Amino acid sequence: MSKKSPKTTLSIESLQQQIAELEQKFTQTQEKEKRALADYQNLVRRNQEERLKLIQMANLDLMLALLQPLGHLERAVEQTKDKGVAMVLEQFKRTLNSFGLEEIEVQDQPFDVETMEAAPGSQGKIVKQVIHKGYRLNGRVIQHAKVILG
Amino acid sequence: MASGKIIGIDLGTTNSAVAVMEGGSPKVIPTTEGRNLIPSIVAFKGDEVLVGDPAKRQMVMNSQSTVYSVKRFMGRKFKDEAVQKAVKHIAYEIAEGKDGMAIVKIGGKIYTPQEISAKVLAKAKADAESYLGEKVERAVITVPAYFDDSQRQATKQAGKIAGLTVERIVNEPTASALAYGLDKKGTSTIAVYDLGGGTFDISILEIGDGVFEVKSTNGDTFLGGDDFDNRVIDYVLSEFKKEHGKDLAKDPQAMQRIKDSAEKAKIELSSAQQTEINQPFIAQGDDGQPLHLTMTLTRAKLEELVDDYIKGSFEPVRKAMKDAKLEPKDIQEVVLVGGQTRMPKIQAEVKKFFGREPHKGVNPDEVVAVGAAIQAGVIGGDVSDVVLLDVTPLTLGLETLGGVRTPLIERNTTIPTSKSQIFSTAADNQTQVEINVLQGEREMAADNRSLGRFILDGIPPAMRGTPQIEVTFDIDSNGILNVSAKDKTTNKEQKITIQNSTNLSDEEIEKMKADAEKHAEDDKQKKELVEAKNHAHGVVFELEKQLKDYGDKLDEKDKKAIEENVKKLKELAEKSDVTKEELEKAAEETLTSAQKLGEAMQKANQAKAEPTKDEAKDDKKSSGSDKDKAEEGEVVNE
Repeated sequence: MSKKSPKTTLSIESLQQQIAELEQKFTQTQEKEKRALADYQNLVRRNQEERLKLIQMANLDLMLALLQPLGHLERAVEQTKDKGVAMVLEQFKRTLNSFGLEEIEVQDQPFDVETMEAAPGSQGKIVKQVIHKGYRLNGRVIQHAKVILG
Repeated sequence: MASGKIIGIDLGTTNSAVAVMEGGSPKVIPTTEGRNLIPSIVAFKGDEVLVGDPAKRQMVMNSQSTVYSVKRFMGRKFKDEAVQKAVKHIAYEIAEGKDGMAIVKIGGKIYTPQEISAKVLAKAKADAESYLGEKVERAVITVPAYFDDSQRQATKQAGKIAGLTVERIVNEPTASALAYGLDKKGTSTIAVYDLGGGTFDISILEIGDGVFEVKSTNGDTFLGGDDFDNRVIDYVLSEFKKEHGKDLAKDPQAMQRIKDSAEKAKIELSSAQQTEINQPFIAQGDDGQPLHLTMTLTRAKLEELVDDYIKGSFEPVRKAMKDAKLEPKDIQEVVLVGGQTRMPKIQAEVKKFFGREPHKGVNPDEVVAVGAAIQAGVIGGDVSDVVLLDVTPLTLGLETLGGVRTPLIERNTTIPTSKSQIFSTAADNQTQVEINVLQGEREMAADNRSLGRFILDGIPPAMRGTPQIEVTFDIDSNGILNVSAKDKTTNKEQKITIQNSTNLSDEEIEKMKADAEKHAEDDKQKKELVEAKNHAHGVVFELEKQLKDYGDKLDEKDKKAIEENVKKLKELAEKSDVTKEELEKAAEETLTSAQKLGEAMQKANQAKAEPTKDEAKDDKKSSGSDKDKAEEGEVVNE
């Protein structure tokens, strides 16, 4: 028996080492699996968020493209004082409003970096001229109002 | 060592960008403002610090407290020639600080360029954390290839101030080359032409064994896309003045509109040959009449306007080539970086100079950040140690009625995966089905490779289409495919295991794909014919059954006519030279002629006061949810 014991010890040692190695590998694998699962869950969450945004902002590109002609129409009404064109403008605005577009009121307001962008020539803190209007779509600012402060 | 994701940051002079490795590929992280770029601008308003887009929006009203292009001062002495040159282009104050270093002075307070850059990096970190939903503590940051040790140290410090451990500082051109995977192409010499918003850099790199060596760099620290915009604006102003005699430069409102449309026109001319600049009611004439700005700008005109800038950019390129002791023909790869390189004329000139097509697939505004993320992935083990999820190279499916292949797992599906579908029998009282597992892209079963087949028997005798046989394909991560078929009535199950279902040589896969493409039209026609035949057989079967059950309710004449039609359709479906169109037409006509039979059936049903449960179920057997919809399986003749 005693003769065999060193061999047995050796064998136990090597087995213990093997167990330790396996335990380490197992921990690593478990960690990797958790990480992959977390990545996946994050992906699912982000997907949901992005889909929600996509639904809310489905009209974003169209709205952005319409803002320039809208501005031009407003300028036309200002300069020509034509009643008919003013009616068209009102109708156009009402239609856009019904799709969630909302003008941001900035005239004579103090500068707010969340909704406005200061244009060259600004001196002061109150909006004295609006270069182009700011708009929200379903609550999110899609165009900052470009303003000159005085 | 901290765990978690490592992000890659392109800390640019004008804009910065962040990217991260996700699922084995780089992804640019959007800012909380929803853009992929962060303007490298920091503004101080009392105690408040604004970074990125908000800082940019208030820049003109707060110019002395808004810091931009601070990268030009990173790790440089105040007396450096470059610093003295840059100071002329900024509105905030630069002074001499400790050890003669350049520092930023805002409202009596002193900031090092590192501290300012740290604000941009902190925003990048916060945006990444909000995107990833976890803490981010480590980053790879890029710097221009010409940055010296002091500038690199300063960049590292900026990361540290922002709460990031900078795992590595990578050269911007190296990151761009990594984004195009040029490190995997063996030894080569690469030219990176980087024309961004405000700076132009050319770098010549040599790569061997995955190690990048910068051979030379050159550039123009004050040339960029903004200069191109200004040329267009000047041109529009001069044309308007020529036509209307009015100088719009003095009207801030008109100027803003021209600036916006000039930038838009420049971008449009990268894809179109000409574009309209239309700004109605831009001003009023001396007589009070409205003036409209309307002009056409062609790509050729734009190219003429900025010709000296483009030609001028090749002066530094030539110098860099000379410093590297290389000729254009010695360059094996050319990479374009920076938004302005979207301009076709620049791409053409670069191609002409180097005599080869430049790489331009990755978004030129994001390519540096993408490369940084790849480097971050290598360090974090995401890239080399990534669990490479395999995909099935070819579609897996089974044979169904008429020798048609029905796909279950489409090719390029990431494995492990599994998919189940319900099938049924094709003949009355069929007691067994054969499952023939197929691999390939062809429409007909016989043209695909059969991986194995087995028989599920013991199905209780029933009308065709009634038994529900659930077939499940399951591929584990080693590509071992388990196919099982289970009769849902008896729960009897048979299965087969196919080793190495994904183990095909690349040549085999390519050949099978090519075959499928070559025969696509042929196969489609064959499949459609089989489907038309299956449909015709179905009609024959259904009508024969109805005739048997309700035929006695019809006039003998009507019954005869229907029987005749059914017989003709049955014969037609057996013919080998029949076309799909003939079959469809005949089936349609047979169904129309059998309307009387349908009426008789309805009457008979109404006559029954209340159908029994079983009968009701029988009537509805063709409906039911899609999920449980039975497809007819391959018939095995007993």
